[in-house]
Amino acid sequence: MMLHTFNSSDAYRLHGHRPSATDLILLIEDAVFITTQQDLTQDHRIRVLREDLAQRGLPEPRAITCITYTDWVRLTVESQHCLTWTR
Amino acid sequence: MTELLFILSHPPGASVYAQEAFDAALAGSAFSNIAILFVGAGCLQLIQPKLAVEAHERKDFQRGFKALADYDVHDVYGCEDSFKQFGLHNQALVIQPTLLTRVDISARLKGAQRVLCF
Amino acid sequence: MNFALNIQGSPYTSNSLWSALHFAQACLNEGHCIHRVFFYHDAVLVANALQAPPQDEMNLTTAWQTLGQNFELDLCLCVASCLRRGILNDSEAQRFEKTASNLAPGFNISGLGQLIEASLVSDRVISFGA
Repeated sequence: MMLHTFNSSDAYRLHGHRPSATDLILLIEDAVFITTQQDLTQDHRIRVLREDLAQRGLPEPRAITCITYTDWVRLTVESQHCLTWTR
Repeated sequence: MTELLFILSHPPGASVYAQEAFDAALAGSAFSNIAILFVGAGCLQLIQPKLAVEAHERKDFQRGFKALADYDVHDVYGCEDSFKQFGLHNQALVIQPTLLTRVDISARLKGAQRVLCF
Repeated sequence: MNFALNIQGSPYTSNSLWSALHFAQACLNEGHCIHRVFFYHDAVLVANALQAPPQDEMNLTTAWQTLGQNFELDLCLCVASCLRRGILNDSEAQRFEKTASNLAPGFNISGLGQLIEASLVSDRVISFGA
């Protein structure tokens, strides 16, 4: 399993197709705005960083797993590689 | 075996990031067996720039791509999807990377010891 | 587990130094080790000692210094990134005949080899992109 972190909507648009079915996707920083534009509930690989939602005043979307920094650390431990997509 | 796989995703031009990321890959090649993967807008680095020599506004760092073999770097890959997306198939490129499908990329990532994203 | 962090974003036009700071705190709280924090690209600007942000704003530089001190972290800046952007320690200032140095305490300047070494010896490398 690999963890793919996206930090902007652009990065997700360009590279969102890269994670495989068994990988996980983490939306951080400005990528959390995607939760207001797109229905992500069908994609069970998606995690959203709770602190970055809160910082931007966004509600935690229903039926999507929101995680803390500690959860993020735990995901990195479980992942073979952590890939960062920024643009 | 690839010890370090460098993913380069910054376009050339506006920022120095693409150039610095390539420097990091070169540094990696001095210490380990590396591979380079151009993805997304990073593939645009492969287009031969047309820079006025006297201008020096930006360094033609892509010239270094041609020297990769001298650094013993032979695994230079490009994302096939990105090549299609940016219409790079008919462009004059500094070097021609080995194009990889999404499945190929997954396999290269799995086979790498560490991955560094830029 | 042993972690290496590769931070790339600018202090004021990117979140990456903040994301990395919170990640590092969580990582250390979980009992992991951070072999090295490597600052690359515009992330080296965090070590500019001449910054004077308003008092009612969080000070990113101080936050990194405190974390570095509390956990004896190696906060390493890329020398090439630093020289381009004017982050100089005393010896670089002297070498380039500049009138002042401005490296904030707690950070050190070294080469890209430090990023490569950290990546090879750590169990996980986490990049915080610009």
